Amino acid sequence: MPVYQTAEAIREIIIPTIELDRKYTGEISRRENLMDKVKEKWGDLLYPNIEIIPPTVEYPKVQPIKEEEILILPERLTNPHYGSAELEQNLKEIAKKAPGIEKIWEITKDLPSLTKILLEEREQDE
Amino acid sequence: MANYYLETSAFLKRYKQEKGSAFVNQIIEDSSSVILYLNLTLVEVNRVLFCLYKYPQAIGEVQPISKDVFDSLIAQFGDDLLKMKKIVLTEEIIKETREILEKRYLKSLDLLHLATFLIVKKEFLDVKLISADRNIIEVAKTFVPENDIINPETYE
Repeated sequence: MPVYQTAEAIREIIIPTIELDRKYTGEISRRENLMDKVKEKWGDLLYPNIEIIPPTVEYPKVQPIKEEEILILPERLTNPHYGSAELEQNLKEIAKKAPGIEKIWEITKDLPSLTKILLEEREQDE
Repeated sequence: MANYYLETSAFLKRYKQEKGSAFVNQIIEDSSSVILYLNLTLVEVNRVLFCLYKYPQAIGEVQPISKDVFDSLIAQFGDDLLKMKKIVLTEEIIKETREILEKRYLKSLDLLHLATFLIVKKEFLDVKLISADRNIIEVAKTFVPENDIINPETYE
């Protein structure tokens, strides 16, 4: 469907039909009234030959982001479960050699309290 | 069935017979107990065991343990972990540490353990905190009833 942007364009379409109307129906006045109504309602849009004042506000230019500046972190840095399968496998491997708790207590008999070592480290931290 | 959050200071009592060891041992051996631990516990326990094995100077005048003893301890620890439920450090836990700091002060690792326990408690109302760290216990009392906190050292 054509979009009529100038008076000439409108006239080119409407005038011939007016002539046709005059010839075959005699309904000229009805067509002219229709054109006046169109002008009244859409005048500024149909006749854009008016001076357009450019905006005085200057907007800052947006710098396009360069492709190399977009950093996408790999999954191993964002997924807390990354590596869990390997860790689980590793635990299963070393657990095969677990000697049992009685044996552990026997070999740690002369060691200082592990809890105490941990708590002292926690106190020293930060 | 009982649910426990086993904080590292209590967990370590499993590997040396001392005050509180019997209680920790009992809940780990009890197959009807569900024991939860934070994955950071691996870092803390490994650090203590490596100090005994390779870096005794970091913990004072301690005779270093042999590789065989070290391997046995690591193996037993690995075996125990496989019987428990691991909690992964999440950003919700990190956010919870701030809620704690609004009311009380704790050091970073203590904060993470307590925050984890408080999140666990939102899911499992009956869970109990097992800890031998007086700082954590003291601050935990601000957030949960005292009977939700167990210091294994007071059980013997």
